[in-house]
Amino acid sequence: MIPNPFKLYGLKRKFGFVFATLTLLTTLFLTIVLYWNIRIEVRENLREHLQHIVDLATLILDADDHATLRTRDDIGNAAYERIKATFQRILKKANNTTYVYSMRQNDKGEIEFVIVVGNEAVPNASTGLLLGDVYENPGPIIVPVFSTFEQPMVAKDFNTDKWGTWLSGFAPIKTSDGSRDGVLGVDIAASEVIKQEQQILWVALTVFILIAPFASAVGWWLGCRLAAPILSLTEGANRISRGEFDQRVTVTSKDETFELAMAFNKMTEHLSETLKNLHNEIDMRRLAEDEVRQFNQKLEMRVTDRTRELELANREMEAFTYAVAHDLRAPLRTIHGFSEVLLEDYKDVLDDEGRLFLGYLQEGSREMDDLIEGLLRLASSTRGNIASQEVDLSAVVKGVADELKRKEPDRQLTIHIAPRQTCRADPKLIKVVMENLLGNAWKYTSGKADAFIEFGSCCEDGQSAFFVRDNGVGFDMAFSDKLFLPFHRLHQPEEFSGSGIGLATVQWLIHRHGGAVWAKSVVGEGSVFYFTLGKSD
Amino acid sequence: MKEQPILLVEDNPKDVILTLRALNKSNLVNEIVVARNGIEALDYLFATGKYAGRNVNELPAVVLLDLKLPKVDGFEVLRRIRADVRTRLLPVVVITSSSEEKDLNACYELGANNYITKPVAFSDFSTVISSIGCYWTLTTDHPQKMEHSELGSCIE
Repeated sequence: MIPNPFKLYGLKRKFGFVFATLTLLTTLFLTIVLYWNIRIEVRENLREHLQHIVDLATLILDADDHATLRTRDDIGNAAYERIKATFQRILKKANNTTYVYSMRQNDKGEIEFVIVVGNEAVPNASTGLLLGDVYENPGPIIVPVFSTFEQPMVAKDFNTDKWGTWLSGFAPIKTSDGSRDGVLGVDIAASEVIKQEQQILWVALTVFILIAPFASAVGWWLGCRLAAPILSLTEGANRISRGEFDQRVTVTSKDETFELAMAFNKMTEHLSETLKNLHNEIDMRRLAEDEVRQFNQKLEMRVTDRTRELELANREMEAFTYAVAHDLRAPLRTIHGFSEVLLEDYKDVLDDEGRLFLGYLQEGSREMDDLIEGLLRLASSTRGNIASQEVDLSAVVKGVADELKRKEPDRQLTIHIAPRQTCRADPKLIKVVMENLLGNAWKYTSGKADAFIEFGSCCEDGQSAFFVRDNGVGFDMAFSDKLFLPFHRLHQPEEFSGSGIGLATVQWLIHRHGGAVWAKSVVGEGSVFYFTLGKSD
Repeated sequence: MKEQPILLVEDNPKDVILTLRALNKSNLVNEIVVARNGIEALDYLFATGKYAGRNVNELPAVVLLDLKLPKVDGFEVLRRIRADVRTRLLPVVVITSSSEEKDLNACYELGANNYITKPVAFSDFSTVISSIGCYWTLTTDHPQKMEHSELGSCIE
């Protein structure tokens, strides 16, 4: 597709071009109108001139002489010569005329010539027409009115006959007695008229050609002048787009473009001010950002330091728990082992009380072992990373319950586990949680005949939580705040054995998962332990 | 045929007494050699130091190895046993107080045949010691052909 070339030009060119074309067209139009008017005027003048000649001719023509010329024999007589001389005089006096002649209607109604005189100055003006020659095809102007018109007249338009095209004037020839003898005709050649008109045309064209460049220039200049304010605005906008906000647009005209320029300048000023404010704001923010960055760096360094310290502490803790695991148990084993040896090898030497005390010794060391085991679990629950994944909690609970049943197959109790309970948690750690919670439920329902343990999920206090419910001995809610503290027990050791670390471990693990654990209970009726698991990864 | 000895590597003298008592109770006739630390254990196995002159080809039926030992610890002993072509296939049972998963994994990675946590209760300890002593002395030559009935009778 060929692009419109006009679109490629700037506004100045477009305006210039349009205005130049307009002025040129206007000039051309005016020239044509002028030419046309002058042409009409000239033709009218010519007709008037012809009218005068005809008037004059009628006056000086001797109509009575004319009436005597009837046959060819009259050619050359005195009257004929007089009239011929009169015609020649007229031709001489009147410029531009080609023929002066007289006609009359014969008995057959035909128009025939009487005397025809051609202008000697015009070449080939002689027609050779003689008295009595019939005027063939005289044209539509004279024929209808030949015998009727009374006053001299000039034809409105050109008339064409076998000798040429003419502008003709006619007048009736009247004798002294008032009768009508014929018609006098004066012809001006059409070529003469056209020649004059052409002269006018040439003058008009010359004038137009002389004026045209000037008119175009004026049009162009006008167009450019009109485009100037817009160009000035464009230039201003360009400068602003380059970031020169101090520039202002100057428009001298007092029209809408001036208002536009003023509005534009105002806008630029606003823009400049806003930009300045913006720069200030950016500087301030950059400063603040730097401060924040520095602060963050410091903070990061501190975090790194703390992390290193923590890692060190963790390693020490690990070493410590390892020592506890290994070294604390050895003496216990010694106590337990040798009291067993005593009971086996020296039971005859000991009395009942001695054997009872040895039994206490063994029991004490066993409890101590449990305590160590619990402490180790608590310690291991506080370190290491949590590797969360999708866990089938129902399956975990089932595994724990099966293990409990395997250890004490004689216990009569119902365990209900809700199916398809899943969560995101560390599988190993969540197992420890379930072992502790179910282990507790198992332990504290031991005295019940219709013991019942239930695992499931519910909506508690507005949030979805898992729960382990039992119908065991329960606890006094007044002490519920001590429930999760390590080494705090709400029951006498004679009633229920335990280290007092299980629930502390549960709380540790749940907190490390980003969750919460809490309990509700009624003494003698049972307890419910709820827990949630946050989004921890 | 002379029974192969059992090598007990244990630094705690009281544990040594209890272990020996448990092993004796299970009616094993094997000689029990006690090494009090890692170096002694390695000396015995490779016939060096105080055991120089011992026939290095007479390997014990099983090594009962404690992990926490003075001088050279249990891990190092196990590593050296597995590194030497003569003792590469020697059955080693780790008997330790540590129930740490980390230790357990490390031992199996080093090639321990078994890993036993010492129970505090003596009766349990006795049962465990007897059963492993019995198992490894009976199955030294053909570990895969061990019959459960034999093991059962041994424990009783």
